[in-house]
Amino acid sequence: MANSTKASKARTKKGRKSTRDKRPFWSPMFWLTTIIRLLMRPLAFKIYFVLATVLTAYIIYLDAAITSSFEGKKWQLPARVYARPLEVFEGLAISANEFEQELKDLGYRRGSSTRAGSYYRKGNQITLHSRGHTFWDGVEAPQQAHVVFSNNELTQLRELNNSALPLLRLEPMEIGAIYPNHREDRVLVNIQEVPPLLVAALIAVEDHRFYDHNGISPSGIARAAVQNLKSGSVVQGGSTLTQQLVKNYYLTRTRSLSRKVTEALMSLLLEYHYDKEAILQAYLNEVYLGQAGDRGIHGFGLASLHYFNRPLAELSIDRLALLIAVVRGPTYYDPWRHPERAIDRRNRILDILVTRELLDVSDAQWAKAEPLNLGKQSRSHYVFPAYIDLVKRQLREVYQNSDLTSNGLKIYTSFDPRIQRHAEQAMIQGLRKRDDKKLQAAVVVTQPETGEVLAVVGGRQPRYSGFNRALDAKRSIGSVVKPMVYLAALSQPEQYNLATIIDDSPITIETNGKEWTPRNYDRKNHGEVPLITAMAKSYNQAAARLGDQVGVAAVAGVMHQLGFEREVNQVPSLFIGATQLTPFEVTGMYQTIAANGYHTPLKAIRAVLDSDNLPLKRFQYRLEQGVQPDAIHLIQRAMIQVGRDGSARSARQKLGNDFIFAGKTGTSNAQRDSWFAGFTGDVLAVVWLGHDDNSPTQYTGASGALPVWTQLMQSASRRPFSPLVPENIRYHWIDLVTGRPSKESCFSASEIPFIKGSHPQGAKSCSSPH
Amino acid sequence: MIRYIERAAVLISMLMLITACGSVPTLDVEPSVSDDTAVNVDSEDTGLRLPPRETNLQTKKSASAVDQLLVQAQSAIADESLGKASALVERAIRLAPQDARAYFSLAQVRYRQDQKGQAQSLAQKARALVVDDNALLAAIVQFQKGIMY
Repeated sequence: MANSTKASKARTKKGRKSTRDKRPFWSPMFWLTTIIRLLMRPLAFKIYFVLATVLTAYIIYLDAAITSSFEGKKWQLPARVYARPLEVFEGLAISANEFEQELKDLGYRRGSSTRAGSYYRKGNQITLHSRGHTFWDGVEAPQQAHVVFSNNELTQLRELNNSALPLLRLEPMEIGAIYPNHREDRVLVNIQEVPPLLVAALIAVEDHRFYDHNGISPSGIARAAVQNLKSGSVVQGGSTLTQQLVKNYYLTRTRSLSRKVTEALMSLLLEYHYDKEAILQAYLNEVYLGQAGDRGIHGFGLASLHYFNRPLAELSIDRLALLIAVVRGPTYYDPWRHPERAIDRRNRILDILVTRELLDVSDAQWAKAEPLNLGKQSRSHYVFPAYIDLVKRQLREVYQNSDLTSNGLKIYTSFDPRIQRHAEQAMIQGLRKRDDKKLQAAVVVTQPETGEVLAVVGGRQPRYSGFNRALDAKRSIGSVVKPMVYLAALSQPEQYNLATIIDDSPITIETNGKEWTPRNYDRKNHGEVPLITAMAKSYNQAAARLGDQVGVAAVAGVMHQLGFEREVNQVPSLFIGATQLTPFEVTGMYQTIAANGYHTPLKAIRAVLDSDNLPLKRFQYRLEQGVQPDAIHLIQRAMIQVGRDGSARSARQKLGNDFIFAGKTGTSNAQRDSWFAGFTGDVLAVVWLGHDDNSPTQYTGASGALPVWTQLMQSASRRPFSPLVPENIRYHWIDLVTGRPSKESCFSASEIPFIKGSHPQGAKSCSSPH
Repeated sequence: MIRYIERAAVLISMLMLITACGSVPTLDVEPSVSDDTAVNVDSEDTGLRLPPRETNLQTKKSASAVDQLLVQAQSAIADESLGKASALVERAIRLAPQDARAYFSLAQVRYRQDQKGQAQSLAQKARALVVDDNALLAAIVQFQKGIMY
């Protein structure tokens, strides 16, 4: 103190001469000069006066600091990202197990359905009590409902009184958050909504004279000192809740006497300005209660989700006691790392509650018998890094980074945890079967009509947030480009239809003095084949010849119409896919084909709400007719043939003959890239496999990516593709060997769509016996 | 004139919704695509006859949920809460992405939001999705004419 007095003297002397009489009385310098004048008085008075003044100034400073911390501190709330809410209705394709998994992911308790966030299951019937949620289009109230399942379908949805319930929307699962740099995370709670036992227990254990003291408790400090002396170590802190709150505002590890004095002064000031309720409320949201990676868990709201994966209001007595136990030392009593310590401390807290008559002995007994009942550690954070990456990128087109990390935005996405799980499993299984540790993978899954992105896998380790291959790996697409080549031709119905004969003999194309000679994968020439067969069997020579006829600009044009935005390198090798696209870009083009030529940008975000639940931005569903539906219908039929009799027929055996899908395999030069892009009636997926260093693999599109795609569809898709038939389309029987009109009974006959008037004429015959 | 057509379209679609509500009893189970009706095609067979596109199974089953949302959307339209109407209809589209009525409703919302291009595209999509429903088709055609003039 003496030192600081000297220092302030020195400062004030310095400042005197220059500013003396110009200062108005409200200026700090005015007061300083006044002090200096007073310093001319006798010594004892001087010392007393200086000390008093410095202390007053210091208190004024502390007062300003603590009140601004308390009031001005708008908690920086990270943006939270939510999965799609499960819409529950009769006819929903979901099994009882999958439904139960959904409830478990949301932290529902199994056993009864009496409280929000719980359910009861008996065989194929589940009774649940939803929590309710505020969505961008209104509030979904908590609801008790009874659901019945049969054969992977939800067949009945009723209220508990058996009245009809057409639709129930569960709350969405949180799948991540976007944090500010210092990574303090919290979920704000209002003291009115906090279980009264938690508040009572907090006061009983940490500061039982909370309502009596003025911020500091001399008797508490004395008692703690005695306890600590007795045991020889720090077993009890003398801090009041107010002091702890102050400490949390200025978290440092130093334990000096001057810090203690500062804390005590600030506590007194806080108590002077604010009532106990306000201080408690701040404490409940501020106190540090744990660590998840580099993310600090602050406040009881988030701690409840962090430790138990359920909201504070739903915690049982033993869980509440554990949270109180953790207050004293989140690291020391970390229930995951030191379960025994945590249980001991929890049980001691339960004893204190009995002593203070806040809990019955019998309740305390069963609570003490409970295990720690922890949820899965860090369940929901950054476990889907590739998808969150996409969400962030789409958000950055609209928001500043600071909005995302501090304003508590709620971001609703179309992420489907069930589909994501299936996509990851399909990929992991596919890679496991292939003995190639370097082999990487990417998967993008969307809803084929709406273009909403359901799942993204960015690499062989889906939990690892490294290079996001789904969005960033630009790779040669191989034959995945062919639907665009054929679409360019089919868009000229006067010249091309699915039965048009294409020559698959060797071809050399010359551009700018350079010759290009593509070869078929099987190194054979297939002669004259109908267009649909050339496409289904992925003949390169036929595709190159057709591409050369329609022109490379037309093919690039189709790619743009389908939604591809970057420039296309217009060289003939484009016809067999010597162009680099990301899996996400390929998905965008296939999306337009699946949606009958309507282009809609792929989107992950449905809506954004601010912290008061007001909608900030709706990401509207928009569509534009990209390619005429007639030509699209023809290419869809050719892509179905890929799975019937073409390069993807192995998938047909797995999915079943009736489960129609449309797609295309792709293999780049020397098998550096293995692709399959395709869709069913309810799922569109693009799968890519390859090496990061672009070295050759052992896999073609059919042997690498296709099995992953098929596995994904087997578990995730419930609806075969059923193409829309535009008004201008007529079906005719055609022999797929000759491309000529055929009888229905011919062996290689198929009923094929034609744009009205464009079908081949002539007598019906069979190329081979029936 | 445009207003008249627009109102007629809304009225017709409301009527259709109401009739749809009444005509979807929960026990109306349609024949499932079961094994006995499926033709076992061996892998050599290249032929395929696509099944005629019926009112989609999913669409039919989710009808009452979609109805509820579309009715709510219509009343939001009537209250001029177009943002809410849009959100409700988009929700309906997510439940039944091949339900023509939902796209038609969204076309109506976009029209009122002064997004005529989107209204036209959505109506066109709705029209393509109509299966065996002449009244709905007629209403969409009327609506499209209304936008053009």
